[in-house]
Amino acid sequence: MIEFSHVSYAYGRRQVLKDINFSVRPHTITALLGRNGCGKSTLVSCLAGQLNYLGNITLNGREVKSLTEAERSRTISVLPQCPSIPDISVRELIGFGRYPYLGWQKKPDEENRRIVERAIADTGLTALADESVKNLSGGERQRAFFAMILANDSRITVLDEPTAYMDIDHQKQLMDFTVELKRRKKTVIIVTHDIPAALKYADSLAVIDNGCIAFQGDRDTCIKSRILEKTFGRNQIVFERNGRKYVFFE
Amino acid sequence: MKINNLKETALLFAVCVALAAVSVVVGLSAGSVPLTLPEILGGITGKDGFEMQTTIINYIRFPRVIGSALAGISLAVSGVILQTVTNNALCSANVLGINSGAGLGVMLAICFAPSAISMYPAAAFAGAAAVTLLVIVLSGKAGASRLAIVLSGIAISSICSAIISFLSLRYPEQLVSYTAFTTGSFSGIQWESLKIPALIIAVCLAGTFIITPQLELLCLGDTMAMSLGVKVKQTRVICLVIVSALVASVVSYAGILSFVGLIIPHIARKFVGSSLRKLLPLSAVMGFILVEFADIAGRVFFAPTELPAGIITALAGSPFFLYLLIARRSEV
Repeated sequence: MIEFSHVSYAYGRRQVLKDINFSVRPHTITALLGRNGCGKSTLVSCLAGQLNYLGNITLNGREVKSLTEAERSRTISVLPQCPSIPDISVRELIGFGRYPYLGWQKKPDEENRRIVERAIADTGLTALADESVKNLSGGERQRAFFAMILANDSRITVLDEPTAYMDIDHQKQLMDFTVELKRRKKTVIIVTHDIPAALKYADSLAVIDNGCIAFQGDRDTCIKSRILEKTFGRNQIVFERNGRKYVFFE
Repeated sequence: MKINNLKETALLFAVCVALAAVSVVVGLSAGSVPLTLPEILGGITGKDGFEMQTTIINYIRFPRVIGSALAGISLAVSGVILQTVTNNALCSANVLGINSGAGLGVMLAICFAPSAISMYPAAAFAGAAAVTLLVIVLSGKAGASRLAIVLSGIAISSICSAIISFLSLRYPEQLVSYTAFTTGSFSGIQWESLKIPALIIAVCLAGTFIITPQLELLCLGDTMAMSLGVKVKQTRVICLVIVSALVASVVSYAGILSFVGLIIPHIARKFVGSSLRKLLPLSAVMGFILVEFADIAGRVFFAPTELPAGIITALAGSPFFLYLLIARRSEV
């Protein structure tokens, strides 16, 4: 269980997070929604231990700040919105996922190499393993980074606007990856502007407005509460097809 | 041109090491008194009848060959580190003004304590470290973009060069040293002036080897590197200290050598990509070869006049820098 308790953070004088309180259940997908600049990315940066926030963020009762770099990197993996694309092979990139588990010489042993090869096979990248990441298409790169997260094998994965700038096929592929992570008993937190996808895939939604949690709950409660309408200032249109609810905004 | 398999990589390294070995032999042979291979061997082994060759090799050619090799390795490695740390393909110690800062430190030492040769590496390091710090602070205030880093470096480099020029006019008796110093030359290097820099370079290269795994992860960007357990700020500071020390060591005995740190990492990257485990050693060997042959070319092609190696590297490097600016403008 991840618990955010009275978390606040300011960039200089600009207070971005104000008394954030919410929790994330293990082995679920949680979507963080909100307007641009509302503090979603700042919140996940706090969780990733990259910002010195006020309040408490605990993982199964243990404060995030008290984790060492090595512990944190084995517990939480972060895929930023626009990761740098290095000119290294796909196998090397995926191997970086094992970095937190290696000894001081950082030389992978047989077990670590096996985990990397399995991540390559699981994501269908075997034929591209020796290609440079720079030469891959957008979708292949996405799979390569996802394979790195699989190799990292952390309990929590944070994806910051992972579907930004992607076409529909790649968006679906990435969201399917998150379901695969959940199937592997990982906890996934997605920062996204893709509300329909969030409503479709996430077990829980948290809406941040003006630095505070305006809502947390499941899809049906979210739709009923019309909180997204209030947050984004757009009328919400809901229709049902084959027993499933779809939401659009005017 | 990119090499993906182990066999080709091994072959490339073998070719480069062979070229480096050739450059050493040619470096020992070429000069105002040309030496043949048997004379070189006789001089090295100290055979009877080869006394003159022994003196030339031990006191003139060997220090020069070792000095240029160390300079090539150090500047190429510092270029790889800087380009990785700043994630900017246009960075090198020269572009960021670290060379000029080290040069200013040495010029101040030459002007105010000309007899304290052993102080030159420390003076160079102080200058290099001060410039590095200044570039970080100023580029941070200018938005910390890759362009801001390069422009801050160019501005500081100009200031350092202007002060060096001023000192050369104010202390004209140092003008001879100044000319060779600002272009980068290995002429007249003695073992004495190499001892401390060689020691510092060895320590820095060992430090680079140790920090390579962390440095490698910086190519993923700060957020991912931190997420994988890299202490990003600490790694950056260590890298910049290493770069300052490497550059300062070279400047203390060879002066300001241009562009080695810029062009070599790019050429090496064309072959092995950005993987530092391959890029660092390949750049080191290529830097060795470039500076060694630049020094030889300066000695041989313009004899009896000797052209400083720095002029040759600048002649090769400046067009390459312009090519990078034009061809990779989107990355600046």
